[in-house]
Amino acid sequence: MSVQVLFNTSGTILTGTVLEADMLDDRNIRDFSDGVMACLRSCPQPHVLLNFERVRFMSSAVISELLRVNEFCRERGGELRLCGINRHIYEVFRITQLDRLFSVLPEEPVEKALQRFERSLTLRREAETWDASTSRDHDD
Amino acid sequence: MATVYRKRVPAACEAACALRKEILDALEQRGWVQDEEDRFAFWMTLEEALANAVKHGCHGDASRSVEVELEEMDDRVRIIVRDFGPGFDPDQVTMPDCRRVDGRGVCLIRHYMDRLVYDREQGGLVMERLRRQPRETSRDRGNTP
Repeated sequence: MSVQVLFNTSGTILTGTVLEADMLDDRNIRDFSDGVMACLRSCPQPHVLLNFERVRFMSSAVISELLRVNEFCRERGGELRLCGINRHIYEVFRITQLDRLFSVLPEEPVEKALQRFERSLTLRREAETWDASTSRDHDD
Repeated sequence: MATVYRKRVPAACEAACALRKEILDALEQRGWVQDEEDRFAFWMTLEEALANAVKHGCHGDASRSVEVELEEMDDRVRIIVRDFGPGFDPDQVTMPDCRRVDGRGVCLIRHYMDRLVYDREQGGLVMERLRRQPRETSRDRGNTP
């Protein structure tokens, strides 16, 4: 079964929805990975939300790909988040202790995850602005 | 234990995925899949065990074979995956930390199955799952009108 990832931009966040595959496994892992990376390579600082609401099953090979994508985003000052993860796949993240790395919640709808992501980026920008202004004050 | 299913396919991804589906259907027909939790457990186990057999046991060489056998007893089903390679000890495989990209498949099988060993006599990875008690639903509890 082939898989497509459809990307939309909302502010500075790139949202990718996995289409046409209720299972991500060894057969379609390359399609998935190529689809995601083709989009991310053009982003200087990728803040990415991947939506898995149509995916029922996910193998450890997909988790390996997500770790590679996460590393790619982090190296460029961005972040990867996941949403629409069903409770069975969430259990896989919990068993592998990757729920901490990805800040993932079970069955979180894409709209809520996007809001949470936007809020966290706003807070981070405010903190950076604050740090910059206080360091300027100290210099003065 | 009575053998209820056995099939050998080329050690290739497409063949292994088709085999996984066939075994899941067999498990469902024979009453081992009661709900989504069972289905996910068997899907994950078969996916990881077959991927391991194709990639590591057969090194992706489609001229080699992978075989799966199902055995049943009253309270348990046994899945044996053979790749005719040297085998490995699953007890030596531990969950990697989040910095390592690969190596989680065997740990996931261990979580979803009640027993996981490499059996030299059987010549394969042996995985057993006990029959779960039927789960109480909200309808059973009288919560549904």
